[in-house]
Amino acid sequence: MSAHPSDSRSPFTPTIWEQVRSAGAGSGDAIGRLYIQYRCPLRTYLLYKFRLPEVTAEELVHDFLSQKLATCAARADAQKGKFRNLLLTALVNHVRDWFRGHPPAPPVSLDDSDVAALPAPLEETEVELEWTRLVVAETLRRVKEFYESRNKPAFWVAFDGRIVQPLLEETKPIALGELVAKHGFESPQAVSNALVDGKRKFVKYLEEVVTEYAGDSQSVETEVRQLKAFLARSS
Amino acid sequence: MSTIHHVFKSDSSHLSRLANLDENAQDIWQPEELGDILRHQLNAPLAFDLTTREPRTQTVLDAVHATVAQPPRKFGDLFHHPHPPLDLLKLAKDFAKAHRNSPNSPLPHEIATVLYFASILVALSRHRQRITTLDNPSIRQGIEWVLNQTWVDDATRALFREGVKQLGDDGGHP
Repeated sequence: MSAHPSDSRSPFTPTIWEQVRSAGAGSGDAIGRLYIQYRCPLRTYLLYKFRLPEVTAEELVHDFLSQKLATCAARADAQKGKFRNLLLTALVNHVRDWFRGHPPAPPVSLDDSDVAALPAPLEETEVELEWTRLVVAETLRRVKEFYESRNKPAFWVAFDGRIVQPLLEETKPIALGELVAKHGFESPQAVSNALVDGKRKFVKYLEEVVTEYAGDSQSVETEVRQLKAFLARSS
Repeated sequence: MSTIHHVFKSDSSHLSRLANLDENAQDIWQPEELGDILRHQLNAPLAFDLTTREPRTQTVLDAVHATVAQPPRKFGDLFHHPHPPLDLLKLAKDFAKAHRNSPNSPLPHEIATVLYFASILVALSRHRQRITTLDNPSIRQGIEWVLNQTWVDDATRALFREGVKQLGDDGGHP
């Protein structure tokens, strides 16, 4: 995980626009910092949106950021919109070009019908929704990875099956009895503990993901508020 | 398709519910699950759950084990004991109260509520002692709530019915 907790940031961390301006003016240091900040969420976007293999997603993001990051930074204008949206739009265009040279395999089932399909260009409002999805997906990926790395896969099963899926997909929560009988929880209270922990991890990683690209702590707070407000408005 | 893939198919309203996930929100349990959790809690060892960092709790537990011939070892034993040690009932009530008031408690609020009122009612019916500052209408409200829960087992219900009678007989108290 390339994460760093929000509280480890210096109070003198430059805002995202200060970094973008420096990168646009050719500062290698600023370009390097933006590369680190955006690599992870953009990789997650390719992995889960287009279901690309991990190596391919990694290479595509590396190529994209190496070729286009400086140009995007030079073109960026704070008055015209968010830098992250400009970057995501450019990434989707980059992926479209890549797909032309790598035609997707035909779907094997209806469920896979949109797997690795040629992405359509993103409309203005779609970009914001896509970015929000990306943040939520990366947050969930980190929660899952945390539990797997701690040898607690059952914690993810409980959090996913009792909280995430019912909220996202309106599925029936996985039964308590099933979690106890099949996933090694010692008691119903142990399941309850896992759920409390899962919610805490989700909130923590959501902030961490945003912190990595949004810059200083005030910007993080604003960004989280804006993401939630956008979802509420467009619901 | 994994849940993380599903994020990219979710609309704003579903994403909004997840993004606004409150770490303090209580979990929503199905009635049959609450029944399972209550059963498990009634079988949970008192010594483990009631021991806190406060030395007083260990002192009470030690005294009970030293003075009572067949000391109750589980919550269920305590509530159905013919002579439940009053200090143990007070500890059980404090335990339940702490869990009722804690948003991050692994013990569901509903279960803590049953334990809380059970401790109060058993103290009242077996010792004629009040271990709470709650007035009678508040206790009655708690009893009614418990008796309205379909997942509460028959033996626990019987305790509450006994408590209702005791509260009715105990007219001099508030």
